[in-house]
Amino acid sequence: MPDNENPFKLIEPNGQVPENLKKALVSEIDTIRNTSTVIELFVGNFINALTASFSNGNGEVVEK
Amino acid sequence: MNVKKLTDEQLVAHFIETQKNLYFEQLYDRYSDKVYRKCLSFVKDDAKAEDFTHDIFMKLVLNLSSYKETAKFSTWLYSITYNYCIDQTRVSKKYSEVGLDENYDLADDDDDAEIAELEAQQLNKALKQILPEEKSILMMKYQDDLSIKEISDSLDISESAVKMRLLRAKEKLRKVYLEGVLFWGVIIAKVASLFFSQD
Repeated sequence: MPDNENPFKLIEPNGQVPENLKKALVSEIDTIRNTSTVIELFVGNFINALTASFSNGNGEVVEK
Repeated sequence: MNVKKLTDEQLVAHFIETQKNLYFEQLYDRYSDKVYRKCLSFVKDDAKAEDFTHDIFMKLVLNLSSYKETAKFSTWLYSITYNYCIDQTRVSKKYSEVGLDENYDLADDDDDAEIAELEAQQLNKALKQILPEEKSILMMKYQDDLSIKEISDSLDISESAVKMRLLRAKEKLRKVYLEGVLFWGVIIAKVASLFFSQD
């Protein structure tokens, strides 16, 4: 069926998405990415610090 | 590298690999208006359609790693769009699955001539009165030109189930459409009869 005969194509709205939405999305994606990096760093460092506190200088875990 | 020359699938792969916004922005530029218009046809409200578009693209970014290249990117994105719009506009009434076996193998139903006969404005009114699930499957078939196989992949149902749902949706649309046409026919006939009886 040609597009100009197809009523479903004729009723398609012709609005355009506002410009600001792209900026909002990109900054939100940045925030999510930055937050996950901070969490990764924090959790990673926390685990490293915990492991270091339970081990002696040779890297062996000290049993208490 | 010229991002404009990359295919959608390549853009997805680059975005997952490098996490650079540049690739996402290109995908957004290609599809944001399409997605926004689909949302508009479900909600008829600019602000709501904008919110829906925002949420759909966020969903897209968060689920991008689950995208498999077995389906076209556009088909995958449209299925997210339709599913989101259906969820948001779903009426409490459940889709009636009773009475017809969706595994029944239907012949390909290509009565496009019947669709072409519908008048656009009346069709728009009729589409508002059917369930969002029915509306979306009709839009996939007749507005996005997706094949039965592509619809079945994006809705995760069998091809015979797609054919059955399409058939039901078309029957419902036809019924609502004819009711609308009949309603206006009766009104015009009444007004005409009143007008002529006064003469």
